[in-house]
Amino acid sequence: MGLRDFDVFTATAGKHLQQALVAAYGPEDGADIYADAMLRAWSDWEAVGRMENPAGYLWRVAQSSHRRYRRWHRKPKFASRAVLDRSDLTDPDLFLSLGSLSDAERVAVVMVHAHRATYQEVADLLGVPVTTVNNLVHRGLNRLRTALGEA
Amino acid sequence: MNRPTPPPEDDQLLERLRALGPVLDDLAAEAGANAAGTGGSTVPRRPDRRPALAAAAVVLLIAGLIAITVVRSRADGTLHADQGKATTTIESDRSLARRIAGRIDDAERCGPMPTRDQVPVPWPDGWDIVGSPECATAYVEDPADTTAPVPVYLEPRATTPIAYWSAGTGWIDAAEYEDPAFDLERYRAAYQAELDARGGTSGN
Repeated sequence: MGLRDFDVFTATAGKHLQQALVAAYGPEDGADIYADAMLRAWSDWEAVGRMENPAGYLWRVAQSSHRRYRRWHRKPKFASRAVLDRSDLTDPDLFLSLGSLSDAERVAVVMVHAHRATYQEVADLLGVPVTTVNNLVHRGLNRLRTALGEA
Repeated sequence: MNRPTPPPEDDQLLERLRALGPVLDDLAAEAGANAAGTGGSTVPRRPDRRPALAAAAVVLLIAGLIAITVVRSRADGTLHADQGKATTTIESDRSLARRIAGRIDDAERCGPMPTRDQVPVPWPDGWDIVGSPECATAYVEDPADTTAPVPVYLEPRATTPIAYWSAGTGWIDAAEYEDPAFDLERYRAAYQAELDARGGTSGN
């Protein structure tokens, strides 16, 4: 595999990585963890840029960053008060309800239905089979409907 | 390929989710710009947690003093005070079993471990991949037939272990494993009991 262009990666698969991390850990902490992962990617791009699936690798790196983050700081929260209090947040109920899903369910639901990623793209990113993504989306939507009172 | 099925026209939830995508992108961009010191975001960065930590320390100190008093009065064996030098809380068997069951549940929800052809990074011979309860994957060096947990590394080379792993214990965070109070034999027995109760299947 030849060396990818870092900027192209950032605008394509890297974008999905950022969206997934934001879905998992919220806009603030997700952005922090994404920045850590991309810093690592940049510093080791000669190797990372030749990988078959750099975004999948960086997702795993980010999980490890999250573990340290969680250990030393706090558990990242998707629906933080700072975001929910924003006056420009158009659908705070949905945002709050998404916070009640598991991280994996939320990532799958948000990536597939908010960011229009394919099931295969999400599966590649998370390193899980497509059937797992399918289950996570199905379960996540059901829980979301219940939380929103649409069930 | 594998595009989600178009929602029915009356499915408000999917419409709301679709509208959320650009909002999340904007929030992430704003948070990222703020982290780089170039934004004027209203989203605060990590707050100063020192006051909260100080308050927590005071609460813990008071709780510790109360616990020692209770132990000395009851001597029920769940908490041991060492002549006032150190106090160690021993996790109850039920709590440990519940924690291990949760870890195995979480690991099972992660699905099967990836195979060599699904893993994008170099996977040298002599290394194997193991999974955490949070679905992270990492590497262990030649874990075959080992009883003692082996170090788990983020990449297939010996650096700082992030966890320890064996078939008989599953994934144990490095901080927990390296804690002097960690009782490996007790943990292994509880883990095995949980596996036996499930018919011998492992979450990893």
